[in-house]
Amino acid sequence: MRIVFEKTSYTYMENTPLEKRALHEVSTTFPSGEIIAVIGRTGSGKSTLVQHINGLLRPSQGKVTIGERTVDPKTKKKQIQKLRENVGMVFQYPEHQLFEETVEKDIIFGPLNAGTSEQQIKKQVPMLIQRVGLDESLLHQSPFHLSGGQMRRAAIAGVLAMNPQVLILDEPTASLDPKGKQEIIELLKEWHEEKRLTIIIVTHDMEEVADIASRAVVMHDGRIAMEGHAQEIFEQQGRLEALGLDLPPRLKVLSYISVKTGVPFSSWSLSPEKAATEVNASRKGNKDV
Amino acid sequence: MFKHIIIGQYLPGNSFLHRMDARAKLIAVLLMIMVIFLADTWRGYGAVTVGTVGVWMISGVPLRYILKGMYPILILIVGTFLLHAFLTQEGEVIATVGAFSVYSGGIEQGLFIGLRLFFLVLVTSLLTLTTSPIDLTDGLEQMLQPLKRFGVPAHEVALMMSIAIRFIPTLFQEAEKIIKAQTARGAKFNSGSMKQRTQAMISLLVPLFIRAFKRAEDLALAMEARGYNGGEKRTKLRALTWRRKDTIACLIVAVSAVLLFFFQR
Amino acid sequence: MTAVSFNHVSFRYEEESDWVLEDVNAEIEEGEWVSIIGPNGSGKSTLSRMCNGLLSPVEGEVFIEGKPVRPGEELALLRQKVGMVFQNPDHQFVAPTVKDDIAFGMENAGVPRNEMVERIEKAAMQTGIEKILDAEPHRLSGGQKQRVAIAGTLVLHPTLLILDEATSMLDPQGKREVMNILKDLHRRDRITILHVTHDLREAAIGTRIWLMRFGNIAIDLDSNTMLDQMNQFDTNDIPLPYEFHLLQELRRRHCKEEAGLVKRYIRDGIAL
Repeated sequence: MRIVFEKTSYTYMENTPLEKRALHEVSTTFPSGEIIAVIGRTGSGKSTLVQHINGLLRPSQGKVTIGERTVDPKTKKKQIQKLRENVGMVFQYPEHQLFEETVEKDIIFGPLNAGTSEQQIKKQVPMLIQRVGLDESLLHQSPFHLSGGQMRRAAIAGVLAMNPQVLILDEPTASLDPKGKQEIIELLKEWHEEKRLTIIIVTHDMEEVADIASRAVVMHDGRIAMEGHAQEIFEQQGRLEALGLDLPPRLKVLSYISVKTGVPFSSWSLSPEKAATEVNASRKGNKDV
Repeated sequence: MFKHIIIGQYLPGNSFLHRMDARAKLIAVLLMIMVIFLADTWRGYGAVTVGTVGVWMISGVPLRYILKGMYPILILIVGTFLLHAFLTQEGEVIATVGAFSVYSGGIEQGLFIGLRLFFLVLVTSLLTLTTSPIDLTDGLEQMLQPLKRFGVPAHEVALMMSIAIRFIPTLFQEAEKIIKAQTARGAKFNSGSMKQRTQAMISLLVPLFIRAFKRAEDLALAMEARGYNGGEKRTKLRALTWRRKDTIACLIVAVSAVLLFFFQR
Repeated sequence: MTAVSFNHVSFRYEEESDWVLEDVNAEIEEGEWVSIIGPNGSGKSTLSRMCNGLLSPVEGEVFIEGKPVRPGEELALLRQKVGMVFQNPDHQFVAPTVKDDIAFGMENAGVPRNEMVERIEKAAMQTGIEKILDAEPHRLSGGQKQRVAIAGTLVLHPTLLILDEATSMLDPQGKREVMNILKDLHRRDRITILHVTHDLREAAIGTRIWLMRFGNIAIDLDSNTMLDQMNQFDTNDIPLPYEFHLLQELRRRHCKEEAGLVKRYIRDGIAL
């Protein structure tokens, strides 16, 4: 599903002394079927932006078009309900929203709300639980008896169960160990390959999404500061630094080496093997001279 | 909905009331509550009004703010008034509505009780509006201290209150997050059938409680790691200072209370 | 002097249940900065909680500066010496304001009032929170809250500071803030640090690394050596961050100068 923001503005607590403008006339397009990284510092408006996509927030001005549906300041709540069935949202620490007696019941909560029959959805649950890397035997356990990483995956399964055409994830790997992080990213990659849905990942960590995101949007002060191909965005050292963002680790270390030794890297997004090979080649080149 | 409730909120300032010792304010408020319960004539309520308005005037709290804060309990006050107006059968019949007769005594009684509620809320609100929560709990702890020998856990009560106050905003932030997450999963908090709404509420309350228990566990561990050992041998960063003006303020309230008792007859 | 010593320490929560720690023997010297890494459930946090008596070994004994950690009167004194910061910034903030929270430990220890004020000022300087002393916790960022938590331990003049995954819930900026404070405390104030973390980047800054696995310290190396012997790590357990991987590749190609550069880059924590 394609998502188009047109001059979308959003103000928190409008008409009160605490009024705070979080989005300023944002216009952008998220192409259908891509994995898009939304990056920015805390308070840059990135969470506000993505919460417009499933109607959790309605724009104060402007509009957002998601597939066939448009949300503007006047859109009724009833209409938004339908939108939510197509747009799944995984919040930060999604395990905090688990509440049912069994993992299975929690997973089918979303689809049931959307009107899917219990029989129908229960058939899919064993497949789903395996997809997120959990054992089928866990289905009939209390979600609160799972480990932290397992809870996270069960919660994500609950959103995937709604089979959304757009999937939004807010810091999906926060506070997991490196292995757990990898597993979540891997899971998203597989799900994307199979379903070809639009995935939007809100994150601080450019390294984490570098290999899966095709597009990136950088938010700053409620505005879009950069957008384009992820690889290209992640290489723009000067711009990223000016926005007070953390540089992707590979850019950071490669440019450090480059400054200290004068090795000219062909790109800032080389794999460690390629980067080392380039260093090696450049040393040999120097010796020849 | 919650932003209008002023009971328990603190409005920083530098008025006479703000600068008073929390213990003095607690004593004064206790006295005023007694007075409000004692008042049962028009003259009595007149005097209570004058007193309370006087206290409000030195509090520096904007009237607008107070009125707005009173709004949520208005229903309660009006309800109490109606209940008494219809159910008390004293004095003369003023009007008859169907099977119900309204007596003059009922109207009077309703007004009195309504006013009593109004003043109670006003006086306690003024206390919390002008006293930071931490001073309030400190004041309470010290005032309960003498009762310790009768087994009143003064320190524990105060600590509990202060932790509760500290975590209220956290709880609201968390509730908001969970509501959003469940809404995104199609939970219907504001629309839908009774059953759907109940389910939505469960999907909010269960995680909220589980998180609260987890938080309590973590907090207990953190407190233990920081050497918390109960109230024995503790010192305090904050010291309350009782000045002469606190004594005077308490005396004024006490004397007014006694005077009122005779004056209202 | 030996700051911490684990002497045949074993632990399990209940009889019959699996051992969380199994016969751990290790020592931390004063002034060291030990980072504990390892997969979830390997016993990292459990081990750290033995140091201030939050948990007691089922078998064996833990010594802090030569004295055994045992339940009783002395535990309160020990907990002043051993500061601890936990994972969730929100779940260890006790008081309604920053200042009061920093004071909490001192109040427990019975520090006189005027001394408290002085110590708060000093700790606030050390952690860079002078300007938010009157702030309420819900208005602070995660990094600020963790700095407050560190300040709350510093006022008790600890000789050992334990961070139990204290950076894992922070954004990059918050992590950096906390790590910079740790560097200062270690270098300037000579505080011994025990840092439980998932992040190899953070771990490499310290002087020594313990990799825990199945309730035991599987690898115990000083950080310099660790960077030379990364092949010891099972990369399935501990995926190597980019620059660590790069370092290996440079070595493989005998690019010594650049490898040295990357090593310094990692050790100085420039990546953070």
